[in-house]
Amino acid sequence: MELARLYPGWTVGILYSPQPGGVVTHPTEVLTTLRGSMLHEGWLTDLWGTDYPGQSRRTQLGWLLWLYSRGQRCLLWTAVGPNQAVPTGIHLFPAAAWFEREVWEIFGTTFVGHPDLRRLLTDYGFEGQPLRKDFPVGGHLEVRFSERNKRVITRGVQFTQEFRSFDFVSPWEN
Amino acid sequence: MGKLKSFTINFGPQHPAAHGVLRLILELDGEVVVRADPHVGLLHRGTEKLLEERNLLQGLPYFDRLDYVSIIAYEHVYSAGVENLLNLEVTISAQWTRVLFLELTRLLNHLMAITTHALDVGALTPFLWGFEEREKLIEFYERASGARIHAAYIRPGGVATPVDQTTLQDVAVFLAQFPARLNEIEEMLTNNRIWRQRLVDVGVVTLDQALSWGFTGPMLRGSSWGWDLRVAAPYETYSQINFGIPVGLHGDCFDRYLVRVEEIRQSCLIAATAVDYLTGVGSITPTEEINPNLQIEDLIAHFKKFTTGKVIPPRLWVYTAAEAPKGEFGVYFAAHGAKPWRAHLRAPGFVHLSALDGMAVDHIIADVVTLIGTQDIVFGEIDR
Repeated sequence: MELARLYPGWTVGILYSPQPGGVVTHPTEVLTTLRGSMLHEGWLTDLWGTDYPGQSRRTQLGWLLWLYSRGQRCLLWTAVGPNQAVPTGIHLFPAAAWFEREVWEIFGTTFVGHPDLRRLLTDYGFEGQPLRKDFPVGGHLEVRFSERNKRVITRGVQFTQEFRSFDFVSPWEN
Repeated sequence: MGKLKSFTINFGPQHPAAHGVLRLILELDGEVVVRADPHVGLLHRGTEKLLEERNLLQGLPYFDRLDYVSIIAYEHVYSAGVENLLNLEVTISAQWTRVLFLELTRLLNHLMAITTHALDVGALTPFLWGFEEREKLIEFYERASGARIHAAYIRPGGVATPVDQTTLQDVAVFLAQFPARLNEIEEMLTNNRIWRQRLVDVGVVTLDQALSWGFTGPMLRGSSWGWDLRVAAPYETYSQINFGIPVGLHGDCFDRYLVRVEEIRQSCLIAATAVDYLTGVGSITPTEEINPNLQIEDLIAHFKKFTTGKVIPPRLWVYTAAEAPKGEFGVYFAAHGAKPWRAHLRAPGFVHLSALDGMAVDHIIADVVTLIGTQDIVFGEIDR
């Protein structure tokens, strides 16, 4: 799913609808659009990422805003490449602090100006971006207590049965 | 007199008031909190990643395990999300059954929230009374779904099985008796001097703060904004029910406690309305069950339904939210074949906990326990 094809042209603006409408903006324009939503008393409800590997801008980000004087929602989309950064929205919306930490942690997108980008949900010293599609569901490392060393050790994951993901969708349909 | 030295302590993860697995690093100046840094993720199970590997029917039980205190509310949001994705209609009686169990779930959650909050602050008795009532509610779960806690009762398209009339009558009896039990809990707490000393004017959140921190649910309503998705964006049959939305005035912990108590009373009324409807309907005939072992075609259809699942055209996405007892719980799906390409969960507790630093500053360390209690933290949903 290519974002540009889905929403032709990078536009800046705000769409109002009772169901979340979508606005697509260029990563550098994110702050402008967020600030624009504040004119309509918008507050940040949620921020998440989605990974589409194989595209130049593989990480799609979605800001869900709640325009509370109107009782409406608005969704702001953008997409960033692996080495691209997005300006932080923490000064506009303090709620963005943990959302951005989470996106940074699981997709690796940097938020410029965020004062405290640390890992949030994963273990101390965890490596990798777990929600990227190239990260295996089983992970790479596991933690266990070693009887021989009498301490907790980290080692590569060992499964008694290989992880299997069945694709039942018939190739002949559609 | 020597100068007080500021120091850093670990609060949790084994602290009983940490509600499970919160590691909170407190920077203190004497007894006053300078900074509170919650370290979460000790219960992280990668639900969002796992959902990408499951088809739309298989993903449901994970939602029971997110907020294990308000179980059915979370599976409802998942089911509603799937229904939005597929444009499914739900029968009216199934909608009323959902409303009934959603409100019983709200009772379950708020009983837990209030009584464990009291327990953290030092009152043991309401906890014991509240859990007796919770046990009765859990029994209704069991009678409807067969499982005490992880019900998997609300399914995409309806509910697993309709509730039978005897259960509905027992729910009605419970709803008639329960307000008296709630009064007893209130008698223990509301005018209790210690309870008030620990809660009144503690953790005051102004409306601006509540909005900018992204608060929803009782945390927002405690700060005098009556935002409730059951009214603002009605789902199921909530638009046909009259009920009040309590709001606080001062935004302190005591107001949020009062809001939760009043929400319990309102939930009882809503649940009673649902029971009235469902008992009036008489016997609700379930859709004819297919015995998959009689015909090979039925067996194939059954097998396909549970393995392949429904194939959704790509490019479809949906964000569905509902008023969970803790606040707005939302599910974002981006579709791709039979499995979601991405499933994102907007957990209210996650947002509330991120504001703990702002709430705890300039409070003494004993108030931190009150603040964690008033946020109604459950780590299943925060860590996901």
